[in-house]
Amino acid sequence: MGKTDKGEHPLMFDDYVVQQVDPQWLQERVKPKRHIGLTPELCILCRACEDVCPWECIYMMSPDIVRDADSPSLMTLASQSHAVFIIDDNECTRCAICVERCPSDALWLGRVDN
Amino acid sequence: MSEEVQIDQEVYDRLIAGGTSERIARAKAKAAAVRKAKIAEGQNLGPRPAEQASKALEDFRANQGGGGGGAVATKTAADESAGNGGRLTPEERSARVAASLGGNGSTSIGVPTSSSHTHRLLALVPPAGIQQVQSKQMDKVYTWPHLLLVEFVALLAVGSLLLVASFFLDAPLGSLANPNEVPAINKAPWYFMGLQELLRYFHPMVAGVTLPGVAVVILMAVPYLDKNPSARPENRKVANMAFTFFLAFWGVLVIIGSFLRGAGYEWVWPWTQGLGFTL
Ligand code: SF4
Ligand code: SF4
Repeated sequence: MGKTDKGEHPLMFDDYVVQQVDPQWLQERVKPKRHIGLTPELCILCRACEDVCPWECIYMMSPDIVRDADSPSLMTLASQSHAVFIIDDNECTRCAICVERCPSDALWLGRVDN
Repeated sequence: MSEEVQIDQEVYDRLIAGGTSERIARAKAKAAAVRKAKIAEGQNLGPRPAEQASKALEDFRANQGGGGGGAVATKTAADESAGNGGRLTPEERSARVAASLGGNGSTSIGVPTSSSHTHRLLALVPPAGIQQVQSKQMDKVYTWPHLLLVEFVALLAVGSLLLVASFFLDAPLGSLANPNEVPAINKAPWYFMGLQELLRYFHPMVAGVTLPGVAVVILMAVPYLDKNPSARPENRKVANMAFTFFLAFWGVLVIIGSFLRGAGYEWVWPWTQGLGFTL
């Protein structure tokens, strides 16, 4: 985990529950329609995104943090994964620095739309 | 990025001193400056009062377009301890989330009001993910084993060749030099024979300095003159031609100098006076 500008670690949890949500949820939840997305197949786990984010709101975590998931298959995927990427949408300003920094184009800035 | 936002010079200098790249240090310093400015304006960073969030949501609902898209979210019922150094406490976060969801009226799945933070899952990176080959590999081999194995075999071959050569070829040191007895032929080692041959035709200044100098300059300019990125021999016409000319020119000079020059550095055919070549 990268340290913040102030030398602190962001607030982290270890009991995440992976849940399927509908698009409306995402849109209601935080104001901007744009959201950061990540294509896992392309990610090389370099943690550069974590490092560059000025607001320290994107983090790569160990799969251990997932306590439960909606479906068994999702839980299996979570427990077999190399990494879990979490973003704090309320803190993220959609500055897309992480998108630009990502060396393998795994991150993207997408629009929540029909 | 617009330059209107001031950067926090102190943060910037510290990040630069810590080896952070210029662009990222600038972004972080800008973020720090914005935070500072907001705090100076008396704004409450991070946790906002629930009423303010509900008002923002109402405004948002008023001019909201359609919905859509898709996402996977995370939520938790963590009981985090307070005192997070200026960050949102779990209670503040759940208040914020609850307010942003408009309470019970929301039709979305939403985050339960007991949730203590607003993290969204971006992705799970499966083991296959980081090994997946996206495109067909072309023209690529791995250093190990492909290259190193070939290099090792080449090393063995050259080593054994040298061993055999040193066993069969006699390459003694000559007798002590005697200034009263100048040998009939005095030749440079074979790799300098081209130069020595050139001295036969040109003034020493031209043969020894100008021509090699020009050659070196041309060699240095090659990457700028021939920018062809292809690695296939048939696409490298200029490079092929240049090397062919070099071989034709220099190789022939070396051969002439080594084998076709006899006493007094005059032209002789090897079958009249024997080879003028010494090891
Ligand atoms: S878009 Fe900007 S603020 Fe959001 S996660 Fe990426 S770097 Fe951080
Ligand atoms: S910068 Fe891109 S490749 Fe690196 S960890 Fe982040 S998403 Fe993965």
